[in-house]
Amino acid sequence: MRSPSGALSRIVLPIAGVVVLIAFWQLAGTTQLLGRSVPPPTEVLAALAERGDVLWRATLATSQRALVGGLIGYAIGLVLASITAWFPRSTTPLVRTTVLINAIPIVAIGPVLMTGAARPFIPEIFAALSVLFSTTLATSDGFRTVSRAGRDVFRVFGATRLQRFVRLEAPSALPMAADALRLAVPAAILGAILGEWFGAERGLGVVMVSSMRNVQYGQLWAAALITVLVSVVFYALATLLEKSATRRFGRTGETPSAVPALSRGLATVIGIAIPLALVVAWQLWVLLGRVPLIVAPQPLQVVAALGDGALDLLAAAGLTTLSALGGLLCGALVGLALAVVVTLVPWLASMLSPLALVIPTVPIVVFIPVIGGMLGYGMQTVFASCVLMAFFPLYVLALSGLRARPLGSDDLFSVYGAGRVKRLVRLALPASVPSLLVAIRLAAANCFLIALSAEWLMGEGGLGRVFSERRVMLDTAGSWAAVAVAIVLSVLAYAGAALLEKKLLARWGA
Amino acid sequence: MIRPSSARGAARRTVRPAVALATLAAAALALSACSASSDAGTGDGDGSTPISFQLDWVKDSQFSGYFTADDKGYYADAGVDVTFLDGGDVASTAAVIAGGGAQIGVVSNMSRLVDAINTGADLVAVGAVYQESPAGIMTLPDRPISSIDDLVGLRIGTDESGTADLNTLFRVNGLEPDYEDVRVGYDAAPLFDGQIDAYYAYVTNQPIPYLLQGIDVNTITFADLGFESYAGLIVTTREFLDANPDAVAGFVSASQKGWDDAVADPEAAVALTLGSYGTDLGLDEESEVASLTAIAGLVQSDYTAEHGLLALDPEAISGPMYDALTASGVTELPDPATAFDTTLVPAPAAE
Repeated sequence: MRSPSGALSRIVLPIAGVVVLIAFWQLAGTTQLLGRSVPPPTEVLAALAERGDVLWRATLATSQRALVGGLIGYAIGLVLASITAWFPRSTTPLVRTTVLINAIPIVAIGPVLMTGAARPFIPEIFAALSVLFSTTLATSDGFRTVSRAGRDVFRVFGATRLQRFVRLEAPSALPMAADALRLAVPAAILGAILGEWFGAERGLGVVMVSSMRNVQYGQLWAAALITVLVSVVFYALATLLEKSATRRFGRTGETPSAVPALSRGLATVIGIAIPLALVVAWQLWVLLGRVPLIVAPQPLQVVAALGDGALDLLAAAGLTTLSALGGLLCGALVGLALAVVVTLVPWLASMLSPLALVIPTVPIVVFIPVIGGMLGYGMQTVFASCVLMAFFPLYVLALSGLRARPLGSDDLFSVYGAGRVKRLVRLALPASVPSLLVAIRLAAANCFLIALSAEWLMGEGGLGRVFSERRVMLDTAGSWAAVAVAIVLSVLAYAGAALLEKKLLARWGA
Repeated sequence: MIRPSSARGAARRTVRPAVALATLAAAALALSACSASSDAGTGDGDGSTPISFQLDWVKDSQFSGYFTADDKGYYADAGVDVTFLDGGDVASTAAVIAGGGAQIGVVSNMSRLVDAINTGADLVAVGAVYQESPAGIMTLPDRPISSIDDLVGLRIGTDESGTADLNTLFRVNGLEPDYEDVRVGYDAAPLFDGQIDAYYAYVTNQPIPYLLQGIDVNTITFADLGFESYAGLIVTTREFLDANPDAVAGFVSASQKGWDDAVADPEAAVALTLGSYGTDLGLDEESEVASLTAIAGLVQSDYTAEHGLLALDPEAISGPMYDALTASGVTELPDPATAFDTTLVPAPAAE
C-alpha cells in the first residue's frame, strides 16, 4: 500500500503542509487580507517569546485538565460500551441516556457547577462530558462489528462469556475505540478550555479571553497555536495507537450487527422513563438543595416559559434547525470528499492531516473574527462554523474506515488488476460503511449543539441567541426553555440518523 | 434475530428503569447535600471571617483596589480572610453569590442586580466601585457620537450583554431601540474593517490598546448619553449580611482603603496586580496602567469626595437610576431600602 518513499510522505509532506500554511498566514497577517484580527506569525512568535512563562504555565494547566478529564470521560465511555457488549439489550437505554446527556449544552450548566463543590473541576468535567458520548457510541458499535464467523467459532468451542469478550469482542472493538480516542483529543482540549471560562485562575482558555478583550492578538493566537500543537501531539499518539490496533486486530469492515430490538412497549417505556428520571432528579435536586431560581429553575417553571415564549422559540428553532442540519449535510459532504481525495492521493493525507486538525482544535471564538471578517457577521458565519465543526468527525472516521479491508480482499483486487478508483468504489467505500454510520450519528447528535454555540457567540437569531439574551437577563426559566428545545431537537436528530441508518441497511441488506 | 421473551427476561427488563431512577435520585441527593453544605461555615476559630469574593472577570487591574487591600493587610486588619474567585462568565456571578458559592461578589451593573433580585434572590448591594458605568460606545474619529440621535440606524457591534444595555439606552432616551445589532463578541476589529459603525465597549478597556498604538477612536459612556447606573456593585446576600454585619462592614471599609491607594497610585496597583494576582493572564503593563487611570476617573465623583469611594447615593438610586430601569421595561423594582445598604461605606474623616 505505502509508496516506497514512505519517509518522504511521512516527514517531508506534513512539514510542507505546515510551511504552506504559515506562508499564507504571514501573507494574510501582514496584508490584513483576513481582517485586522489575524496577526502575522512573526507577531505570534514575539508573543511566544515574550510571554513564554505565562503561556507555559497555561499550557501545563490546560493539558493536565484535558488529560485527566478526557481520560475519565473516555474510561467511562469504554465501560458503558462494554456493558452494551455484555448485555446487548442495555444498548438502547444506555445509548439513549448518553444521547440525552450529550444534548445538554455545557454552557447552560456552567453557572450551576460554579455554585457547588464541583467548581474547581469544571474544566475536567467539561472535558469528560465532551468525550463521553462519542467514545460510548463508537466503541459500542465497534463491539458489534464482531464477524459472524468468529462468533460461530467461539460458540462451537464452547468459550465462556469472559473468553468471548476478551478474545473476540474487545479486539474487534479496539480499532473503533482507538478512533474514539482520536476524536476525544480535540474534544477534551476544547472542553477544558471552555470550562476555564467559568472561573479558572490560569490556563489557555483564560489567556484567550483576557487577550481577546485586551486586543492582544499576538498572544491570543499564540495561545491558539499552542492549543493546536498540543492537540497535534496527542492526536498523533492516538493515531499511532489506532494504526497499531488496526494492524494487530484488523478492521473487519463488517457492518455492526443490529442492536437487539426491544418490544415496542418496552421501547416506549424506556423512551419515556429516561427523560422522566432526569426531570425527577432535577426537581429533587432543586427542592432538596433549595437551589435558588437564579441558579436553576424548576421543571414546571421551564414548562411555563416554554408556553409563554412558544412562538418566539418556534421561530428560533426553525432558524437553528436550518443551520444545524444544513451544516451537518455540508460538513458531512466536505468531510467525506476530503477523506476520499486523501485516500486516492495518499501523499495529500500527510500534508492535509495537520491542517485538518487545526479547525476542530482552535476554539471557535478565535475563529469568529476570521470567519466574520471574510463572510460578514450573521447567519452565514453561523452556518460556516457549523460546516467547519461538523466535518471533522466525518473526516476522521471516514479516513480510517476507508482503510478497512475484509480479509484477503486486497489481494483479490490486485490479482484482477483493479485500479485505485475501482478499489475505492468497490472495496474501500463499502468497507468504510460502519465508520461512516457512527460518524453520521455522532455528527447528527452534535449538530444542534454546534449551531447553538455559534448562535450564542455571533447569531442574529436562533435558539442560541435567545438563550444568550435570556441568560444575561438572568431569566433562567426562559434560557433553560431555549435549551430544552435544543435538547429535544438534538435527540430527534440522533433518532433520525439512527432510523435512516436502519432503513439504509435494510435496503442494502448489509 | 431471535428475541427471547421469557418471563425472566421481562422481569429483568422492568427492573432497570427503577434502578436508574434510584441511582439518579441518589445522585441528586448527593448533589444537593454538596450545595447545602457550602452555605454553612460562617466565622472560624481565630476570629477572622473567611470570605470568598467572586469577581466578575479574570484578575486584571479593574480589581486592583481589592488586591491592594489584600496585599497591604487591610482585610486582615478588618477581621476578614478574603479568597478571590476568578470570574469569566459575567452572567454567572449573581447566581454564584445567591447560590452560596461566594459570600460576597461583584455584580456588573444595576440591571443585573435588579434582574437577580427579581428572580427571588435575596441579594443586597453594599457598595459600588464605578460611580459611572464604564459601558459605552466606541466609534471611528469620522463618526463622533454626542447624543442618542447619532446612534439611530447604525450598525452596532455587541457582545452578550451589549444588546440589553443598548436597548435600555434607547428607551431611557424615550426611543424604541432602532439600530442594527451585530453580534461580534469581544473583538472591535470589525469597526476598523468597516463592518460596523459603532462598537459596544467598556471605555476603560477595548479602546485603550488602540489609543496606545496611536489609532484614534472616539468613546462616550452611556452615562453621558443619559443612562445612569452604578457598575462593579459589591453584593452579598441578606442572610450573610444579617449574620455577619461586622465582617461585611470590615470588608467594605478595607476595600475602600485599597481603592483609595489604587486611585492615588495606579502604577503601584498595576504592578501588584500583574506581579501577584493576575500573573497568569499575560497582561500588558502599559495598557493596564492606562486602563486603571481611566477607571480612576469613573470611580471618583463629587459624591464620593464627600462620602468616600464605593459609596452608594440613595437619592441617585431611587432617582435617575431607578428611572432608567423603569424605562428599560423592568416592571417591578425592588424597594431600594432592601436592595441596597448604603450605610456600610465609611465617609472620610472631616478635614
